Amino acid sequence: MTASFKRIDYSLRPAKHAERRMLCDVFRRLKPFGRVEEYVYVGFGSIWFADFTLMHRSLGIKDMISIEQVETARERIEDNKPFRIPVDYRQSKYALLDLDWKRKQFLWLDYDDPLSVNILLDLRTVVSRACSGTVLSVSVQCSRAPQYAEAEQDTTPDAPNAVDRFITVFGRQRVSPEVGAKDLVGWPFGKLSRAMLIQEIHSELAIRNSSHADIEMCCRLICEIEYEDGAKMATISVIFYSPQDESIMDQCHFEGLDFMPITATPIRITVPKLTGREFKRLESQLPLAHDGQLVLGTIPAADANHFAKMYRYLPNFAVLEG
Amino acid sequence: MSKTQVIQEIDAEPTKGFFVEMLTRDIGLEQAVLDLVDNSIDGAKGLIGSGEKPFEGRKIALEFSRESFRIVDNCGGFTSEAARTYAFKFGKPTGSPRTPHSIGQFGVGMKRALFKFGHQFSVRSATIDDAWAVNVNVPEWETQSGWRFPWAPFVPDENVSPTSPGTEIIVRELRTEVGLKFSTKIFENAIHQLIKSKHRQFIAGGLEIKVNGHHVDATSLYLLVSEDTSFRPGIQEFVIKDDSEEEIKVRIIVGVGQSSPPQAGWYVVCNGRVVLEADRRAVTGWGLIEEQSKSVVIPNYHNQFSRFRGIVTFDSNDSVRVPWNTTKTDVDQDNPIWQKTFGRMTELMRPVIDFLNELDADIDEHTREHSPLLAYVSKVTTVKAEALPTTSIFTAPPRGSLYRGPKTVKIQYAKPVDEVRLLMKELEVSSAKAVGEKTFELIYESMVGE
Repeated sequence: MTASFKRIDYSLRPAKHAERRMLCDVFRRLKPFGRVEEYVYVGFGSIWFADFTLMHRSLGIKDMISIEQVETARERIEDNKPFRIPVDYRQSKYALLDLDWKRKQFLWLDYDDPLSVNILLDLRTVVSRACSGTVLSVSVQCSRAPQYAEAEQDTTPDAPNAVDRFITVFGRQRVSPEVGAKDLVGWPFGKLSRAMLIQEIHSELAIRNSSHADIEMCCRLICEIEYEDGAKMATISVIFYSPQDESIMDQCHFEGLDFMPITATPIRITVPKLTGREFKRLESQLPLAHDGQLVLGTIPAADANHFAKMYRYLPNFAVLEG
Repeated sequence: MSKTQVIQEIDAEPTKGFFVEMLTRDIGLEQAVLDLVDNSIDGAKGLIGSGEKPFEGRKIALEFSRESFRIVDNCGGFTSEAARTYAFKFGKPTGSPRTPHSIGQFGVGMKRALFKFGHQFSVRSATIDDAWAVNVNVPEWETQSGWRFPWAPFVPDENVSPTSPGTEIIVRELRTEVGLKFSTKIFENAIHQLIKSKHRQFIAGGLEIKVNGHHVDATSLYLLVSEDTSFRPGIQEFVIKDDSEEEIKVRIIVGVGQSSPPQAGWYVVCNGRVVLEADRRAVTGWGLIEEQSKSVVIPNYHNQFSRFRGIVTFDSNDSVRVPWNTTKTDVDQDNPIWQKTFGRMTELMRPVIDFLNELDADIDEHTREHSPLLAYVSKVTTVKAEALPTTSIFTAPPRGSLYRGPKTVKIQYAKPVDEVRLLMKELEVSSAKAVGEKTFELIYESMVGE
């Protein structure tokens, strides 16, 4: 698999930008657990380090670690590091083992690839070690499962179908009996990926809590996000906390975040297609008064509504023409 | 008794706590759940109908969560006499009544599961003319002397009553690790899949099983059988009488199915209960080496055998005779019934292995798209294992006998990734293989013409 930084220019992904800022806001809410600056931020910085820049500038996070599996990109990465960020040039399966798990972490494991067993095993590494107050966010690509593509391309007679291939890779325990080929492509695959990430976390947590030696650890789902900047992506964000810290967790009041949906549906980030003038026009009316309605003029309603929900997180692009 | 006499005796009375602990370590959590399902099925066997769906109308429902475990069935229940004299006894007393062809044996499944799951259990059962209940708080019971359980009042409801005979078992105050496991979706999936495969035969016979509200669908094993006689599985049936004069009926089917690695291997079924599935270990003959000659008689399993299907079924009135182990998770290799059968299994296995090797060689020579033997196999119809005849000799067309198209030869080479990627884009194809084929076609056309 080609390193994604060779295929996608991260700096031009508006929905990803919004997601980054949303997760930064989630991070900000962890204050009741202690000073946010004392958390360690762990991510897959790639060569752009966009999330690291945001976390450092916005929240003052000083302890950061980037994990990068493409060893051959080392020189280019060292050249591009915006701040003094240690980079662990190993695959996540090894790098995650060596983090300082006594400290509270904010991990954003932003995989470029669709769900795989390696990703699920990485989750188990985190879940079995996380201390109270640690937040884990995981992003996976969900345009379609590789097994779906394989099955499509394999026209040999009698080739196994997509679901069988999927079960062969993940094992029957991970795949509910209701899963069909339709769940391996598009947003349904996003939903399946999120469910499988969450069920893996619960399974490992059950194992962790079975041995009475460690303190019991609980987990709560903070949010689920979906967006499409070219490829469809799905993200989950969970927080681990001990029962004694439940009141602290309640004080974080994640439900109060602007972008949180009222019902527990995934947050779909849609970047509205508006002109610069239309941006300004809508912005000047926001935040909306309690019973307020947006004055739209010629602006399409759907785009305007998306904008109203997301405006604080969307990027402003400016093309400077010299 | 004088004091000196007392001192000279050693108190070897078993403690309840020890017994409970040993009993419960014997078996995994999933198997313990399956044991309870097996008991319900044994009840159902007593109410069996006829025809294709003898278990039609019989239902079993399982519900489990962090807090509790519940299994309820309408499979006839068992009498207070049975409860009083052997169902709750640790170990089956001699002379206890036997369900013919039962799958719960050794008298241990229910007790083991109850104690393994938690600290408080209730069992209620009703037959058409009897009803009873037992409620036990295990920690309290452990402190009392004597090995008895008191009766509790029976309260009929829509699930269990003399008009709807069946059994309901509930366990509460689950052990921590058990409750945690019960609460995960992964465990639920595991139980669902296990029931689907282990109780396949009964579900196909009309038995309805639900796991946490999800219905377990029927599945069948399919083998390739041609309408003419060119492709047939190998099938043998015979009866073995062991030293107890009890008869054990054995049926062996060996053949070819669709290419599916998860399904390939041996299936061993005892009294209808699947014990092994898709087994590829030495236990079922894989990797067998002939002692004297050191030649490999049966190879180890490889994916080229992904079409292999072997099914061996044992049936006996006395469930102790069939060659499974006490946890129904494997065969008992020391059992003489198994040993006799094993020889026949390997005999029937060899021609199928030879055929699959031939198929693999044909694919290697002609590629998957052009192999005549693969093309033939892909067109053969599939038949459910249950619908196969009593005997058959494995038959398959020899490799050379099928019509061949123009001979092909494989070309393989490696080129830099960037170059291949560029051509993929330019030629608008989506794989390296397609690039190879397309570039060949284009050059051939330009050099040789149509």
